Amino acid sequence: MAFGYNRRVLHVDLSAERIEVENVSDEFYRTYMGGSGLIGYYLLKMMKPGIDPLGPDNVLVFAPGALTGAPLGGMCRFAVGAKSPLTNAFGQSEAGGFWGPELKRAGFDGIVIRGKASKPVYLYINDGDVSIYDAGDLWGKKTGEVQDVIRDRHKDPAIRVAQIGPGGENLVRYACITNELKHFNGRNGLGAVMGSKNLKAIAVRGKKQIPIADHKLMSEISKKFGSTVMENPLTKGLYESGTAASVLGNNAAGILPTKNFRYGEFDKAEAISAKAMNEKILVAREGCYACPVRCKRAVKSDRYGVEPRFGGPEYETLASFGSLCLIDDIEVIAKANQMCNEYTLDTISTGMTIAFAMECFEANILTEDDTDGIELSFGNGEALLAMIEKIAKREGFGDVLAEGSKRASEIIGKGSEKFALTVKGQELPMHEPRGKYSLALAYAASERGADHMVAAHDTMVASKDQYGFREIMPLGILEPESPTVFSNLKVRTFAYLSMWWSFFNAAGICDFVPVPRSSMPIKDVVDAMCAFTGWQTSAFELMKVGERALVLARMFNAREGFDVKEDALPERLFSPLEKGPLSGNSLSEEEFKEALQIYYAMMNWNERGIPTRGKLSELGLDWIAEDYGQSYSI
Amino acid sequence: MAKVIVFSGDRLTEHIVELDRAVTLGYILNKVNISREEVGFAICRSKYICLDDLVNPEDEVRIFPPLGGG
Ligand code: SF4
Repeated sequence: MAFGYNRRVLHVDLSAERIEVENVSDEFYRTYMGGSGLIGYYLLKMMKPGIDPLGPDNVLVFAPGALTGAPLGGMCRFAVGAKSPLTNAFGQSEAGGFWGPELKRAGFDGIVIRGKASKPVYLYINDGDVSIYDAGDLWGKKTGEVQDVIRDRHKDPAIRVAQIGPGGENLVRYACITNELKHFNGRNGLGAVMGSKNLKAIAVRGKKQIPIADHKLMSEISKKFGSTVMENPLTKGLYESGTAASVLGNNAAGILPTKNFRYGEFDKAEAISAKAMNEKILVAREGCYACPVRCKRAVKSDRYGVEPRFGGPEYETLASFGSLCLIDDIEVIAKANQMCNEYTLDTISTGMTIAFAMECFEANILTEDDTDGIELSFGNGEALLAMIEKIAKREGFGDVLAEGSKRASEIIGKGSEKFALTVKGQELPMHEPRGKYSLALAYAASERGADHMVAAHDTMVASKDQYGFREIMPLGILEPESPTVFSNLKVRTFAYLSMWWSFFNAAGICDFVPVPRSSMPIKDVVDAMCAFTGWQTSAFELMKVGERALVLARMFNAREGFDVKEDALPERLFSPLEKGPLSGNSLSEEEFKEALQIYYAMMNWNERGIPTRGKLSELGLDWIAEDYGQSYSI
Repeated sequence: MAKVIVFSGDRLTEHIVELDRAVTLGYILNKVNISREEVGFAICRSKYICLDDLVNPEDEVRIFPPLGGG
């Protein structure tokens, strides 16, 4: 009997309307461990290189991890993966909430979707039974209504719905997927992949208990974590202020992306802070499956008809619609957030693409003749809302911005390219690499394009005495390093932390629960894996799972022709910050390139950033070289 | 007189520390009663500084808890 997981992966061919179940072995599951590992395996095995990400040959995988569904804080995540229509590279994005645990309770460890339905459909998975339903009446509808209709139709208000809104249907290249209306697989445009397959939603209901190998140990770890939540300043801060706490902190430190990454400080930051949210629009603190941290917000604004059931803006959203666009009205931001949630647009890429257009407007590269009469200037909240609507519907100028800032800049031309701040075509998230150098590596080297959740940031490991530092010493990280230094120590810390965080994405763990970002010690994460699955595992094995998932994604990209030339940063990051406490700081291109080569060497990747044959063998991935060795050089 | 701005719990608190010579950041932390565990990093003169780095009488120092992403 398998504890903690089902040994069953569901395969759905939408073109043939065929549903099959694959039984996987313990060894297979322990090697890939779900989430990003499972996605990497299936994308490499089932997809040919060079396919159109919005065509029927793309493979879309939904995968909880080995720990998803454990009765313990943070064990709620699932990943979605496919070839990304935004980057043409490996696409993967994680979400919390309740959908991942529900899928495991319904009897599956993953869903692999191929083909394209001849008309709009949704999948309904009910305790092991799987059916394809017509979604003709749901197509074109926003997320709130769709969730209500599906729950009513199947007469079960506890059904968990992962779905796309009109943004996904209209193939906006950065459309996301939402579950429970307020949790998101935000990045890489995976909602557009769902849309391209005519797949509106996956509704899941599972009532079975996931068997736990060692109840006593699991309950001890859970109790211990619960007792630290209000004691540890990191988790306590997440509960009290949510991720929004970072607005004022980053602003005071000069690393709050402002005016399309020109400044590191926003003079109206107070107006978009956690304090402003708590005072003006907060109605509840919420959380994910079994998690006592409760860092999620629910907000309400009568002025704009903002409803609590769509959650509330996270730090990324407050910054991307706030400081980045110089907008200081928290109710406008809450409205923009809700619109993105109803249409399913990634708030980071949406804010960045609009900020890009605002900078073009300021530089007279765009005028109101181009923007359908909208005065798209920095600080114009109403223009922001109007543009989100147009993007989701691909109306007028919205059709250009729906392509993402990189493609939009290629359409617009006239020197606008320098205002599009992307890596591999994905817009930068709301963290400033000129004040945190390991983020420069994270953004550049991430197989998914610019991503801030690759590893703990420099500021979490900058002092030996700080909360969290002692707790990561078991990984072999014994010395801190200044945030604004590229050193071998910095690269080594980044490499280890990126494997550790990559393991979270395979195992289904929220990054806001283990150390150093929060309070769950490494030993407890390892013990939780033993308690849930019955495996006698170790931090070493789990780190290797994380590394394997990174290498799978990198090999996917290598097959698509990606190498060191795509592990590159936008020019702006090599010029000085114009405003704020770190003003004048910039990255040195030479130092960055050297650090990247050191990182490759530490990972046993060649100078082009491609894992060596030895590395593939060490990770048990010889099959990749055997399957694809002829089509590219490794 | 060094200005010390401490960020914690979504609030900025300002302290003035009388100095007649350069002192270490560690000394300043003792003066404003902040435990080292609570400090993630500090910024002075547009640079990150550590506990042994010197703060001059006219400097402004900003002190932060560990700030993460997300
Ligand atoms: S820490 Fe926050 S995001 Fe993570 S599982 Fe808990 S409530 Fe969800």
